[in-house]
Amino acid sequence: MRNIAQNILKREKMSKRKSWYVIVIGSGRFGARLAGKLSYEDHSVVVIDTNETNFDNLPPEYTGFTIQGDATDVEVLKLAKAHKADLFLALTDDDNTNFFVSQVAKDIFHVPHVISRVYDPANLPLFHEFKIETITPVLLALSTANKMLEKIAEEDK
Amino acid sequence: MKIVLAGGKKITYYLAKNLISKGMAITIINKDKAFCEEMAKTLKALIIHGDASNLLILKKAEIFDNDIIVALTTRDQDNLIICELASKVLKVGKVFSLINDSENEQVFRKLGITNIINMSEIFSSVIEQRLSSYPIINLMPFEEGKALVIQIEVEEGFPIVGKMVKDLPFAEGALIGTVNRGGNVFIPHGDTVFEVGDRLLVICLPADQTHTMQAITGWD
Repeated sequence: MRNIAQNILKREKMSKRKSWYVIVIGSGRFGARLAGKLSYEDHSVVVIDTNETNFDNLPPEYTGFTIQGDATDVEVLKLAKAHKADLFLALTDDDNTNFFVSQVAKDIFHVPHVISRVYDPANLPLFHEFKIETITPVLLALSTANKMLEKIAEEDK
Repeated sequence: MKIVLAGGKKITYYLAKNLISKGMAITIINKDKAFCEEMAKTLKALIIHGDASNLLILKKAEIFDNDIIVALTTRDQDNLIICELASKVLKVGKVFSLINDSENEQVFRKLGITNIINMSEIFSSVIEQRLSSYPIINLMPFEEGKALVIQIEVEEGFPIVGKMVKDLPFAEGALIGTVNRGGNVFIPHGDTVFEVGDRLLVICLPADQTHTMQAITGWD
């Protein structure tokens, strides 16, 4: 009963926000968790990964679709209805793959929002040159570490 | 002017060997250290060990705008990044890419990479030609399919046999470019008479293809 009540509450909260159609490439720890969160927030999500066992990373609250296939194959993106996507997340562990699929999503399927994970910060200028939004885990970890170090330094005074 | 070959193994070696023998300056960039060492021993070329999809490595090759770069890796996403870096960041004028998945040809074209070597497409068309006992071979579409080049071997019973070029009921959008008669290739004139066994190279517009083929072969 409580669950249903919670769900209704959640839905009411969410109904104010538009539901997106989201495509996530790469079902690793990061991709799968983000897909789970988006799915929980009532967005329609499709996760694509070359390796089917990676779908085991998806959390139980994930209710979207999965496609086993290579996202660098345009047919696979067509199957995922990429032309209808509001948001495209390239989250594989390979920068070149992320760059390729992001470019295709942006220039072939005209997805309005494309975000790519970039492993090597040295690749950032390239992604920015092509106007792809980026998430760089190394830089995020660095900034978190910096904050922690500053806090310790503050306490040490 | 130099030619930079990025990635690839056997194909890179043979291509480099061929181009060096024609007097061209070659630079090879490859991730595989052992391969680089091997190439350094066997070829008179500049060898750079490193990932060509990395801008810093590409810069090491000192590619200028009048140089040529050819992306030859087995992964299309790597080839795309090499081409984009070369053309958009390093402003290299002539960028060629090998394409492994033939469906990616369209993707590369849309993204501005137009010099494409579509491996599987080339192989399949060559195999098709060799397997075909049919006298008509669609060699290749040009200008994104708006022009066709077709090869036809003239067989007994074709209405074209014994006729002159000027007598052919050809549409505006078709012409016979060359005739191969027993290994001797020439360009037909208005009074060239066609014989059985002639191999014709026909250039035509897609709209006139059916009509033209019918005029030559007599088939519906």
